[in-house]
Amino acid sequence: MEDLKSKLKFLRESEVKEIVEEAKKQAAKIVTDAHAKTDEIKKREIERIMKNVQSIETKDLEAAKSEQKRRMMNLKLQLIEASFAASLDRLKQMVDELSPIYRSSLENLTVEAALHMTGSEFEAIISPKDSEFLRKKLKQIEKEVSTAKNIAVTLIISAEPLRSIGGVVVRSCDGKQIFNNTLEARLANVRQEKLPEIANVLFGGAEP
Amino acid sequence: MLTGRLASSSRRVIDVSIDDIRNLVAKEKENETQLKEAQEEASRIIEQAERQAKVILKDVEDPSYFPSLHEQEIRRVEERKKVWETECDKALEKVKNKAARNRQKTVDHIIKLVFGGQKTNGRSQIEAEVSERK
Repeated sequence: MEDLKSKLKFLRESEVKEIVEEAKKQAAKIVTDAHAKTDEIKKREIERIMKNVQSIETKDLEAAKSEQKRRMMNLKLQLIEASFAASLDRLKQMVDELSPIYRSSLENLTVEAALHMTGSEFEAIISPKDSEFLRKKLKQIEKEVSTAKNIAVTLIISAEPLRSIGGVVVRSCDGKQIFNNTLEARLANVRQEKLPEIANVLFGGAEP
Repeated sequence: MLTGRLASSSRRVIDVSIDDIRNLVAKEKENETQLKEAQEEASRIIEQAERQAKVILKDVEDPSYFPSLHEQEIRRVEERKKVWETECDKALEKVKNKAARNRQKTVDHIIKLVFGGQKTNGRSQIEAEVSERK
């Protein structure tokens, strides 16, 4: 009988133990599931937020990059313009000071203009203060152009004053052709043709 | 004394008295109480686990949890943008400084181009304007 009692006690105790163990297992699962659910929600939400933020970041940075490019381009254009303005001032100064480089160029500018035109009779429109200098060089210019064109060329100084800081406008005597070799025209051509080269000089070179 | 016979799990037949049966019933009642207590303990354990789970989930179920993360990330982007803009400003400043250093050299180069390309080089170098009057 005692044996039976002890067996019954054992069975009951086992059952009690099993109930508590089962509850502990369930409890552990509830906690584990909660952690898993939290991790899953966190992961999903973080992915969603990061995707959203990444899209904002990309958009913002792209806009900022475009803005930077625009600012950089504007700045470079301003600086190039400033260089051209400074060059124009230098040209005016050279003309005013009757610089030998300018005087020698004036002769060459006249020859170049006449060489690019057809015919043999030309007039040079120049600034009044350059007329005396060019008048002295007329025969030499005529000779140079005549030799190059292989025809007898005549060149006179026009009574019409040049409306420019310097240089020359050569016109055929029949008025049909005109070659604008003023300093402004040449500067404009430099701007049009040589901008990359000038930008390279202005912005190039090693860092100090 | 009343006696009876009981078969044990080991299939032995044992003699029991009524008192034994009474004792067994009393014991069984005691055991039922233990069982009930065990079930209550189990319920407590599970309830506690559920409370713990609620606490664990509270963070992510809190409506301010993710918006704050979002704001934090947006602030990070703003910071990155500010850093980038500062770098850009520095780059602009560098360009300005370089241009200031090269200004004289550039003006000299432009002047050279304005006076260059005359005579033989002609239009291939400097395209001066030629217009024909009809």
